[in-house]
Amino acid sequence: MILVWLLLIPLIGGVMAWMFSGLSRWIATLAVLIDLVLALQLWLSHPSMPIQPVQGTAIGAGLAWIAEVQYRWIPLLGASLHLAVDGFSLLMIVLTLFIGLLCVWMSWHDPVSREKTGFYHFHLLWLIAGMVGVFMAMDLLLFYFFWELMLIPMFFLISIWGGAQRKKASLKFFLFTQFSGLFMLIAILALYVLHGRQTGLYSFDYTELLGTTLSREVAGWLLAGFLLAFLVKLPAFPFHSWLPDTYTQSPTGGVALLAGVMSKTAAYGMLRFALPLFPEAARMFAPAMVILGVAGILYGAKLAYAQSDLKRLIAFSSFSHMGFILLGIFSMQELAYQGVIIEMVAHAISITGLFFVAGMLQVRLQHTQLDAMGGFWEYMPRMGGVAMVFVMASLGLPGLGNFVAEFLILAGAFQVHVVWTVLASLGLIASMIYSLVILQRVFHGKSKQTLTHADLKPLEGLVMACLVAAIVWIGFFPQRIVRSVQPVVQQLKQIAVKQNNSAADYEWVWNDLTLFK
Amino acid sequence: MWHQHLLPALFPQIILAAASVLCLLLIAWKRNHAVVHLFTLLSLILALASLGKIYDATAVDGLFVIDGLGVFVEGVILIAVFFITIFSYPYFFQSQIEKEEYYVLLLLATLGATSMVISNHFVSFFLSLEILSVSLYTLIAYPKKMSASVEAGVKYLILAAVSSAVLVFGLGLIYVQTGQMSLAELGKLATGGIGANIWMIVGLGLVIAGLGFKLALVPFHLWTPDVYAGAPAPTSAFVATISKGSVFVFLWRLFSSVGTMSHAVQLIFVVIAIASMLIGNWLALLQQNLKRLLAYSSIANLGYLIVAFVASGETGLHAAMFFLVAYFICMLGAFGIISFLSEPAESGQQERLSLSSYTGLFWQKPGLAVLLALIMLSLAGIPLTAGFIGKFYVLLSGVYSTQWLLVIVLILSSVIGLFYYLRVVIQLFSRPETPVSYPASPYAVSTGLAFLVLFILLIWFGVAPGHLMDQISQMVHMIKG
Repeated sequence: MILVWLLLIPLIGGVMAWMFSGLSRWIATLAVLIDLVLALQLWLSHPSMPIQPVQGTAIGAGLAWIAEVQYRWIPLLGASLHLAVDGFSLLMIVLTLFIGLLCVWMSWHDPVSREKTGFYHFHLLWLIAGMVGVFMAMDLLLFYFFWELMLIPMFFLISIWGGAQRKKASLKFFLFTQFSGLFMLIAILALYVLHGRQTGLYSFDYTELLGTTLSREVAGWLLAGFLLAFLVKLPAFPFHSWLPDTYTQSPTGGVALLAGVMSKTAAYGMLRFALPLFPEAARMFAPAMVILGVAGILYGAKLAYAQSDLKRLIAFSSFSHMGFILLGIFSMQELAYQGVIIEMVAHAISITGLFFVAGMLQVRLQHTQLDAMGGFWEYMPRMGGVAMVFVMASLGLPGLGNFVAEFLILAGAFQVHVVWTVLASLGLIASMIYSLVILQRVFHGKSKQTLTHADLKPLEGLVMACLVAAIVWIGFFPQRIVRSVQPVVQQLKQIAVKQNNSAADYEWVWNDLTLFK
Repeated sequence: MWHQHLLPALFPQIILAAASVLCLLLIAWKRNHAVVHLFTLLSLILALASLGKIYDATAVDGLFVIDGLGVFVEGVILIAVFFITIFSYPYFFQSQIEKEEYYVLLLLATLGATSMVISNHFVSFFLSLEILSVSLYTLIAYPKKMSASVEAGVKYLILAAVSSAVLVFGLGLIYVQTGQMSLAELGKLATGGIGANIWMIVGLGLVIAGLGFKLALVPFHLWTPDVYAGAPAPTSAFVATISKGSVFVFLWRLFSSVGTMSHAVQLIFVVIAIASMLIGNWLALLQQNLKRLLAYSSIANLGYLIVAFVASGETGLHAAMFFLVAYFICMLGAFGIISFLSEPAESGQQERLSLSSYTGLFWQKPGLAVLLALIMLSLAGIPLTAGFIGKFYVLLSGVYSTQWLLVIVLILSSVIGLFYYLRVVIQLFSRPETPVSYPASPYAVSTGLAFLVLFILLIWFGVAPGHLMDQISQMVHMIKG
C-alpha cells in the first residue's frame, strides 16, 4: 500500500499546488518531503536484501520484492497495476525524490517560475510521480504508461518556462523520445502476443514474461525495439541530437530532473527489462553496444570541450558520462553492474549540482556564455567552492561518488574488452580537461563585470550542501548502495554466467564485427 | 414479414422519427429556440433509455439485425448527438436565421445513422444512408447567408450524390452475381465460396469506393477539409463522428458477411489505410486552420481504424470500437470548443479558424485550453488520455494479426501527427504579444458541463479503460453470417 501512496502523494500534491497557486511552493515541498521520508524509511529498513537461492535456470528466479501490490487494471488484456520495489528500485526512487525536492527549492527564487507558479509545480510534481512510477512498475504496459507520462510534464516545463528557443526544443525532445518509445511499445505487444500464444496466458506482467522462450531472431528484434527507446532516452551515441537543445532550453528545475533522473530511467529500463527479458539477444548486441558506449564517451568529451556555452558544455559532459553507463551495462560483469548502479546515483547528483550552478549563474547574468564570464570567484566564493566539488566529482576525483563508479565500470569492462576499456579510460582524461575548463573560465581569470550580492542565498546554500553531502557520502560509503542492489546484480550476473556456456556464438558475433571493421 | 418482438427493438428509431415530426409541429405551432432545443434533448434521452430495454435480445429480421454491436454503436451515436445538440444552442442563439429546423434535421440525421448501424440488408442500408446524407446537405449549408457554408453544402451534395451512385452500382453488381441483398444470405453464400467472379470483385471495389468516400479515406478524401471548414462547427462534429462511425459499422458488417477477406480485397484496404495515415498526417502538417487540421487528422484517424478493420477478428472489432469511442470524444470536444469560442457576426457565427487566434488561450481560459490540449494529446495517442488506449488497442490488434507493415506505418505516421498536435498545444500555452480577446459566451453552464463530462471521459477511459473494454467485449461479438 505504501507504494500506492508514493505515487499518489506527488499526484495529489500537484493538483493541490495548481489549485492553491499561492501556496504551491510549500505544498510541493511538503508533498515531496513526505514522499522522500516514506521511501527513505522503506529503503533504510532493508539494509541488505536476502538473496534467494536460485531455483532453475530462469533469469529472475531469485527476485524478491521489498514491497509489492497488485490491483486489477485492464483484466481483459491481462494488464494489472503491479507495483513492486526491490533495493534497486527503491534506491532510484529515493534519488528521484531527493533531486525532486532540491528542484522545488532551487526554483523557489527563480524568476522563471514566477509566472503560473502553481501550474509549474503541478508539472514538476507530476514529472516526479511519472518517474517514481517508472521505477516501480512491474507490468510492461504500466511501465510504458509511466514512461510516456514522464514526457508530458517535461514537455510543458520546457515549452512554457524554458529559454528563448523553448518551442523548438520541447518539440524536438517530445518527438525523439515518443518516436523511440513507440518501438518499445511494439516490442512489448509482440512479446505479449508471443507469450500468450505459447502459454495461453495473455499477460503484461514482468515476472510472467520473464521466462518466455524466443527464437534468436525474434528476440533480437524485440530487444532492438526496447533498446531504441532506452538509447534515445539515455542518450547514447548516435541518438543524442535532441540533447543539447533540450538541456539548454529547460528551466533549471526541469533540466536537473531530466539529466539527473530521466536519463537514469533508460539505464534502469535496460537493467530491469531489456537484459533479463532477452538475455540471449543482449549478449548478441553487447559488442556493438560497448562500441557505442565508448564512442559516446569520447565524442561527448570532445563536444563538451568545444562548447562556448556553459549549459551546453555540461549537457555534453552528461552525454559523455552516459557512455560509461552503456559500456558498464553491456560488459556484463558483476563489478561493472555495481559500477553502473553507483554511477546512476553519483552522476545524477553531480550533474544536478553542475546544472544548478549554471542555473544560478543564468539568473544572475541572464546568459550562460562562457566568453562573457570569468573571475567570479571574487564575487561568489561560496558558489565557486561548491562548483569545484562538482567539477571534481565529474572528472572522477577519488573520494567522490563518480570515481568509485567509473573505476568499477572500467575494472569490470577490462575483463572482457581490453581495447575498448583502454579507449574509454582516455575519456577520463578528456573529462578532466573539459571539467576544469568550467572552473577556469567561470571562476578564475580576470573578472569582466562586477556583481554585487551574487553569492549563494541561504536556500541555495542548503540545496548545494545537500548535494555535496550526498556525493561525498557515496564516495566514501558505496558499499551501502552495493549491498542494497545485490539481488539485481546477482540476477544480471546469471546472464554473464550463461555467456560462458555459449561463448562460441558470442565469439562468432565478435569475430564478425571485427571483420566488419 | 412482421415480427411482433421486433417492435421494441426498433424503439430508438421510432422515437427519433416521431420526435422529428413532433418537432416540426412544435415549430409550426410556436417558434421557440429554447423549447425546440429542450425537446430535442429530451427525445434523445428517451431514445437512449429505450435502448436499455433491448440490451440482450437479439432480434434478426430481413432488414435489420439488433445485435450488441448495433446497440452499442447506437448508444454511442445518441450520446454524441446529445453533445452536439448542447453545443448547437449557444452557437445558433444569436443567429438571425430561423434556427429551429436545424434540430429537426439533426434528429433525422440521427435516425439515419442509428438505423444504418443495425442494417442487415442493402435496401435498409441505402435508405438510412440517404436519410443521413440528405439531412447532412442541409445541416452543412444551414447558415444560408454564409457563402462558405453554402459552398461546402453544395460540394458535399454533389460529391456525396456521386458516391452514392457508385455505391448503389456496386451493390447492384453484387446482387446480380449472387441474387441476394441481405447480408445474412450473402454470408451463407460466402461459405460456399464467392468472389472469384470478376463482376463480384468490381462490385466490391465500387462499394469500397463509395464507403471510402463517406469515411473520407484517401484517395476519396478531397471533400473533407472544405466541408469541415465551411460547415457550422456543430455540424462538422456530426460529419466527423457520427456519419463516419455508422458507415464504418456497415463496412464491418458487409465484409465480415462476405467472408474471410480475399487477398485482393485485403490488399486494397492495406493500401487505403497506409495512404490515409500518411497523407492525412502529412497534409495536416501544412494547415494553419484548426478545422482543416482536424479534417486531416480525422482522415488519419480513420486510417488507424482501418488497421483494426484489416486486423479483423474479435480483437480487431473490440479495438475498433474502443478507438471509435476515443475518437468521438476528441472530435466532439474539439468542435465543441470551436463552436463555443465563435462570435456572432453579420451573416452568421464567425468561428475562430486560424491557429494563431488560439495563441495563449491558456492564459485567459485555462479550462478550455487544458481540455483542448488534452484532446490534441489524445489524438496524438499520449497516455492519460483515451486516445492512447485506443491507439494501443489498435496496435495490439495489428500485432495480433501480424500486420507488421500497417503497424510500422501507424507508428511512423503518428510521429508525424505528433508534430502538428504539439504545435497546437504550444500555441495554446504560449504568451501572445497582443492579448487575444475572448468573448464571454452566454449559456456557458450547459456547455461547460458538457466539456467537463468530455474531460472526465477522456481521462477515465485513458486511465481505467477496463470498464469500457469489458462493456465492449460483453456486447460486441464477431458477426459471422
